[in-house]
Amino acid sequence: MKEESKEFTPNILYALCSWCGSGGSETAGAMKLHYPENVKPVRFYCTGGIDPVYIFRALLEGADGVVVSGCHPGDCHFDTGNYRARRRIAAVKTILNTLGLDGDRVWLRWVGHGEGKRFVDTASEFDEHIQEKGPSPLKGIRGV
Amino acid sequence: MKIAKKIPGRNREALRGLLESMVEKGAAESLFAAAANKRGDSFSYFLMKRGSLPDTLEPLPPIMSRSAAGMLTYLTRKGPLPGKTLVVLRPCELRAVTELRKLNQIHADNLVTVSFDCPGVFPLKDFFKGKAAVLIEQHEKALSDGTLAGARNVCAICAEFTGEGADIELGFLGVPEGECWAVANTEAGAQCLGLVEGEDVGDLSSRDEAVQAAKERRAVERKQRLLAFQQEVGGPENIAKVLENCLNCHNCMRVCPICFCQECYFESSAFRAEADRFLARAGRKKGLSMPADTLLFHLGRMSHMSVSCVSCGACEDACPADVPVSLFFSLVGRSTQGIFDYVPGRDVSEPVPYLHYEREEFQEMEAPYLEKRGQD
Repeated sequence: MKEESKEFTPNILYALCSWCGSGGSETAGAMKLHYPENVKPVRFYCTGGIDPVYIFRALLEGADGVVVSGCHPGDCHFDTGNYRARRRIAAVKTILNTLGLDGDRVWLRWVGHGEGKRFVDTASEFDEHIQEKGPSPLKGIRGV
Repeated sequence: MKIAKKIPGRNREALRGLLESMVEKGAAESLFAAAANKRGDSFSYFLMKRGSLPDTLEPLPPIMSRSAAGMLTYLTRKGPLPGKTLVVLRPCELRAVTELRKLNQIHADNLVTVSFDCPGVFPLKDFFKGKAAVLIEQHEKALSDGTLAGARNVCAICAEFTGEGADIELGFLGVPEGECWAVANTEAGAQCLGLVEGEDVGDLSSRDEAVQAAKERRAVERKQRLLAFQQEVGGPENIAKVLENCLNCHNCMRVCPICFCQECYFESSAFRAEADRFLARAGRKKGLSMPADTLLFHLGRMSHMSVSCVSCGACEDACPADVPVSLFFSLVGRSTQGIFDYVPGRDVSEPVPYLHYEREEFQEMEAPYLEKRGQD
């Protein structure tokens, strides 16, 4: 764990699918690995079930970033959910970038069931990435 | 083989005459097209049967009251129309019909589509406030030269203004004064057009050239206008400024031909919560504007339908608060359609991006993982 006191602790949502993403977090637990406490995991049945609206809603209601992890391509429990998720995430990032709202606050990275380290690394890497960016301008939008 | 015929009469009468004679000669049993009221200052779509066509048939109205694609969804969702039906559609409505067919919302069996070179239409509010006769006259003139002064935002920058995907396409641009050219693009169109008298058009090149030049010009204008709009709305503060007048009435969603869901997520119980939850949000946000979730509604709708947005502008016509919704969706649609290399309405066999995937694509959207360290 880092020792220095952080001025800004980002509020991060980590969307995981029930199969590989959550599996990765379980493996991380079994390996006694740590990830930053401000990263809050949320379990979805499949990354293909993550409607872009959930991501927008999180960003508008206080999250500084959203990271999504699910099964590697070819490994989806439902065969094609992760391919669909990738298209949706591509659309989300494109919409945010087009409107000058920083699509880089949304990440997609596959994490397999056995990849505990990759899960933990992703959580801390994303945390650092968002710390560098600072608080999300989206949650401060008022009046709409 | 392409059949092309000269249809006599000025544009408006030519199309009216063509439709009437096709229906009378048995090309179709029914007709779906716009007609005027008795005073001639209001227009809406009508479903009409052979033998009882109204005398106020007005297939080229200067306004688009509602998108015909939405009404065809309504008409054919439970099954196709029983007999052959001629359907007159603006190019944007035709593209919306193609999208809705892909989404299984329109049964297109028995539909014979007719489209035309569309100069654009007036905003509904401008038309209702203005002098109908004058505006109709202006629109009539615009049919020949392709540019309508005072047209709606998206009409002014429309680069896909011909009916090239229709069974029968009516051409006004680059056509000698006093005649129109009807071109059959498909077998079904050729069958209908074959019943109508008219001299064959030998050489279509004058129209092709005029259309090509106009398309190129419009494409440049479209790009410039949308990029300028992007400057205007880009960033959190500007977005708030553009959307602050939004009433959150959801009219834009209701009139959108692409928004076909029976129940919209944004009107679902997902947005009902106890008062203390709203209060908590109000505390976090330094005041919660009510009704809440206006920006979320627009962003969410962009993610749901912008890949299929045909820039018909129905949303903006229905907006009571003059929010530039159609430019918003055209801008975002341009980007989302761009990444999927998708043109809505281009081809009915081309799958909608969200219903399709490739195994190897968008790797650049994944955050690259470089395993760089051991335990911290």
